[in-house]
Amino acid sequence: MNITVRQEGAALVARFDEARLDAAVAIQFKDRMREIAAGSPDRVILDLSRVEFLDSSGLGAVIAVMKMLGPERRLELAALGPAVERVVRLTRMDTVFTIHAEAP
Amino acid sequence: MPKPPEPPGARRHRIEACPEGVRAALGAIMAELGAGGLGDGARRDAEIVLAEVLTNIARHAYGGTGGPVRLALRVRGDGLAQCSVIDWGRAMPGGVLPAGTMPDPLGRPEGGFGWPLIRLLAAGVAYDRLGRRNRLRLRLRVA
Repeated sequence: MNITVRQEGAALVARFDEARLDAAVAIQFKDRMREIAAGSPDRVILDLSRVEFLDSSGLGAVIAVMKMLGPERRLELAALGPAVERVVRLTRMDTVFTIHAEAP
Repeated sequence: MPKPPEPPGARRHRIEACPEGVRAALGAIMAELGAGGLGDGARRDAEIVLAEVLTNIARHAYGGTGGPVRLALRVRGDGLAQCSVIDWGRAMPGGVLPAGTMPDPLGRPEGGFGWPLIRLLAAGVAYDRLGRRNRLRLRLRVA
């Protein structure tokens, strides 16, 4: 599992580089994001452009990362493919996350 | 163990109830559904339903220790696929399907989405337990 990190202006952009964000990688994803988030700026954008499938375990991990960042930092989502968007909308988590059509 | 009833003419899958086993099974099943002519939207929803069903079995019926799952799937002529999923793990609490109310997004829930998603996306779902086996019967939309 790989996450590519880059700085974009005042934001940190983390791109999840696998096709599936599911129960098989949820814990690894959370652990890696915890390392990445240590000392991150106030704004973290999760680039999901490579993700073709998200299950509820993967979504739960994304929400856990948002909570891990605490109230003073924001997690935003970018570049949701059709399958990812479907799950995010059905669970109404699109009302909680700021979602960008494309990654910066 | 007695041979469980399955839809006639179904494709059968033997699945190990663990995250990697679920991934492998979904790959095979989705390839099969593609060959069966399912549209992208229906395939997407079917994959979500089956992922949630199989992950729940791995996590709750078998408690993360692994175990066998038998899945049979048949695409019917009436726009639906019929699927049965059998495991030999713990029964559903109370012997019934979970209610499936979507958790409040404002509570930032980290789980509890699985059954609500299954109920939203499957055309039908039924559960029974006979002896030591759990059986889910699902109807999945083709279009």
